[in-house]
Amino acid sequence: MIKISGLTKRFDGFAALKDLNMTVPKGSVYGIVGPNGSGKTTALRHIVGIYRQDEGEVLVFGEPVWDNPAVKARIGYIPDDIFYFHQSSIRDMARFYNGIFPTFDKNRFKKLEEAFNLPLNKPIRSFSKGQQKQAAFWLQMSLRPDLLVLDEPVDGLDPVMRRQVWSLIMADAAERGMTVLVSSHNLRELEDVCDHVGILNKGHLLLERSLNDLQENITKIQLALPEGSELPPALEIVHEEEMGRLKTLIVRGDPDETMASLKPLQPILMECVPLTLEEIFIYELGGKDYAVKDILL
Amino acid sequence: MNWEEKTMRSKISFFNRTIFLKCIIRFWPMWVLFLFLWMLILPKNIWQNEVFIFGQDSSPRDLALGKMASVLEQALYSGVVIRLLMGCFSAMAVWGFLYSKRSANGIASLPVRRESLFLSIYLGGLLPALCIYLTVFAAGCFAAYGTDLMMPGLLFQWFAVESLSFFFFYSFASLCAMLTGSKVTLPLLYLALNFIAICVGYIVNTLFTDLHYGIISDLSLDGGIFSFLTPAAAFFRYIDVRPITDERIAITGWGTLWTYAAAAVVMLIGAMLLFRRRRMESAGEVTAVKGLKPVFRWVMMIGFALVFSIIMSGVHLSINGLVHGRYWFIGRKAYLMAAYLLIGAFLGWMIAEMRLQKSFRIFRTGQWTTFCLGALMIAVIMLAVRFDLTGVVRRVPEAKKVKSVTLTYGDQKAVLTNDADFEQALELHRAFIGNKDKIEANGSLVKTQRVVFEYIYASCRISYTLKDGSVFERQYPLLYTVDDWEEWPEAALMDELFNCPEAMRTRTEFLLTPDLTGKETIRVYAVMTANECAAASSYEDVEEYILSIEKNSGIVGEERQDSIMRRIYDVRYDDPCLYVTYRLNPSVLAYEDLDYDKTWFRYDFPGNRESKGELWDAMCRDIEEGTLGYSALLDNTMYRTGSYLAYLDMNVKVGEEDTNRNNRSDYRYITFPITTSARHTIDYLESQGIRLHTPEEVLGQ
Repeated sequence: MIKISGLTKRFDGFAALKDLNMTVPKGSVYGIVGPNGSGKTTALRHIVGIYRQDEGEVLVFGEPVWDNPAVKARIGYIPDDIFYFHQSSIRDMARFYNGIFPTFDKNRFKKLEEAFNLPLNKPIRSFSKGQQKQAAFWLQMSLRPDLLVLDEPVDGLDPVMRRQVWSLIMADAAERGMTVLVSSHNLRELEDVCDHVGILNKGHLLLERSLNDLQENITKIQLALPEGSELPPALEIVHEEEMGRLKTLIVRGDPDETMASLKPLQPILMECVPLTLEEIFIYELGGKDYAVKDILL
Repeated sequence: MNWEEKTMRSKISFFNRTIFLKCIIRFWPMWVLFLFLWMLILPKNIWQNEVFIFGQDSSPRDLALGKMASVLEQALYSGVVIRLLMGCFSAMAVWGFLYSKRSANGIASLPVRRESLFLSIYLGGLLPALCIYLTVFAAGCFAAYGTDLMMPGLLFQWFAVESLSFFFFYSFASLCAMLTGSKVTLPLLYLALNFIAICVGYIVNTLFTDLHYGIISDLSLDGGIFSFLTPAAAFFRYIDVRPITDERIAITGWGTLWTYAAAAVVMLIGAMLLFRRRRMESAGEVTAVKGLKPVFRWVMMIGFALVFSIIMSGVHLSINGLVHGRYWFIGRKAYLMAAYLLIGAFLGWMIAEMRLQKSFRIFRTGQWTTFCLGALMIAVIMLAVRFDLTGVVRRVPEAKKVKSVTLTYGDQKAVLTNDADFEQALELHRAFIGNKDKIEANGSLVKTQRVVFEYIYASCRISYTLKDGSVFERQYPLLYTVDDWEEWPEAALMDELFNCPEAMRTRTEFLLTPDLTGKETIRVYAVMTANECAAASSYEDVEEYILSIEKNSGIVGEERQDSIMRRIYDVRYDDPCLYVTYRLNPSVLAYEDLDYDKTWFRYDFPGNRESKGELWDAMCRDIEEGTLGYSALLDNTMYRTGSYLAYLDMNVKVGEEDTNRNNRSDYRYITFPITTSARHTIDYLESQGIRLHTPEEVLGQ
């Protein structure tokens, strides 16, 4: 779906992106995470065809995206700073998008009116930030895009609207196989929605994995062992905490194999607890000398 | 229709209807105002003139043509300013999205090809203006319908002129819009580029002539290449309404228009190419094109250096007075001028860095190399100027290459064609160059000190016409004090050259030729002596006093020519006063000896083509005999004893007007002192009771 290879972009000599390589599979919900200034927005602007790369290649649907209307017509884009014409209302913008995007779906636009419940004829500039964001979702979802690119999408939305927006996106993704690329500086926000995650720092990708891969490779186990028991030395323990007799282990490796290796110790209590995305990244990358905590928190 | 089919349509398109319409609709108030303005300028004026014509007893074709020409001239002239501004406003409106990151990114993310986006937006700014011009044209025809002012062809010419001109200014502004990423920079850049030719021409020319002793400008800013390269000036100058025949008027200057239209096409293509490659991240930047940053630094540096130095020269001029200021730059003071240039360059560099870096903290991070190179360049140029490294100041043509020399001093002219005179002219030229230091020193005199003839503009121009047809010209300021002027070798040389037989002949011979097609009044100025001033004060009025003089001279009855206007003339004021009939104020006649150019008699001898009068005939006889035509440059023996303190002064017309109202004639002003040997002239003046006095007589009283 999206393949970025060797992407470099410089602004006045400063490299905002350095040899970025990234692959977003078709139909995935890909979260791109990184601290402020890591290059997330710059990367997204290349993907939607706003910026032209200095070096490297950006392919979307297998084609270069820059100045390629056929590709861009299939992309919906909600930037952090919403675009609308100064005097325009939602109706005006809908007319505009209808003229520009061949895939604009008027029926869908009408159906979504109920979900968003915003005044159609009021200038968008008079809306609150959250309402402007809703308006952008309304319009972009009406495009029925094959790829939806979201830059810090739920900033300014209240929790109810956040859920509603995500449920709409997820429904589209499930129903039509729409690919979603979403950026955030907050990993917790993406935890519930993404199936792929990439961590971007200082212009290049530190890590790109599917959540399944990550979860299959690391395990969080809470256990209480009989007195005098020793943990098997073969275990690759990334992190260990102890509270009385209760131990919490983060162990690298397959969860089933890990559990099996602990069973001979006849633990009083042994439970496999799901890791948060944040924990996975902290412990997965912690040993690689990356300041991952700084990136995520 | 699935998306593949739908997007195929936009892939091959160079025009997007939605963007085009959005562009027009968004800025409709601007276009309504534009239409309203033009309705006031053209149709309303046609209609008002129409009412006026009906108010006349008759409405001849000539009257209608005159009125239409006047209406169109007004429309064309005001149109230049409107087009200049509207071209910029419309470009600022339609390309405004490029200057905000939000809208630049929003538009760039749309599935529209860059070419298609460019053309749709460009046409969104151009076509409304053309439609407005068409509407105004139709309204103009409607206003003139059924009257003598109904000239649809002429109005269509106006439409074509306005459309082509707007096309140019709008394309120009669009190109500027592509060069910058800042909304504030766009109008500044547009105006700067519009007037850059004439401004740079003026500044460089002024500095060049001010800094080089003797160099004069052969650069004409009014007309010529500088005017042509300044679009507003070119439209003012070359586009006009003119009569073609007695029955027809037309707008002229189509060559200029088509040239500018062709330039507009080039600019349009340039703008499109720049837009295709435009980096949307340049929104908010001064320059939108990568390579332009160093250009911007250099342009700001050079521009500020030139403007600052010219402003400082103006300040110096106003503080220290004209004499001091005008020649202040020559020579040693070039060092101070270099300092002004350096300060200006530094200011320009600083502002450029601040704009480029969007920060005031530029001293650690700025590109000092650029400034240092600029400063070095200024230093080298100024040293070259100071020490005349190019030799331009010392250059004198070779005598064998000279075909003729023309010397000009004030109103006096001497044309020389003899080889012997060339050598003397070159000697004069070398004398001026040799006395450069002295003249420079005098140039620094404070304004209260008197310079020769108290005439601060006094200068001598030497113009060589060379055998290869080229012209070599120099002009030297005569910054000599009254006391030392006659001691300078240039003084005697000038006097000799201006009064050599050939110079006298060439100066006056045209008065004797059939080319002379008309003359106006000949004025005779004759100085009043102390005794005459004293006598005048006892009379009731000037006329009575002059009559008494004539009676005393025996001029009575028919001998007295009533057509001669007799006056007393006071030159002590900047605007000389003429006293005719009323009583003279004693202060007018307060006689201060030595300063004998204060109170004069002035006699106006009327003349016309048919009858040039007796004075004219007398004067011509003297000129033929070589006794009149002397040029009084020096207060020397010749002037004091060989000439009266009296002048003949006249405007004459040379050449004929042709039948097509094209004026081929020109007026020449000529003045010369009445020499004591000009017997015919003197006899006639005495016959009219006019008394003449030599300087010696006046000073001897």
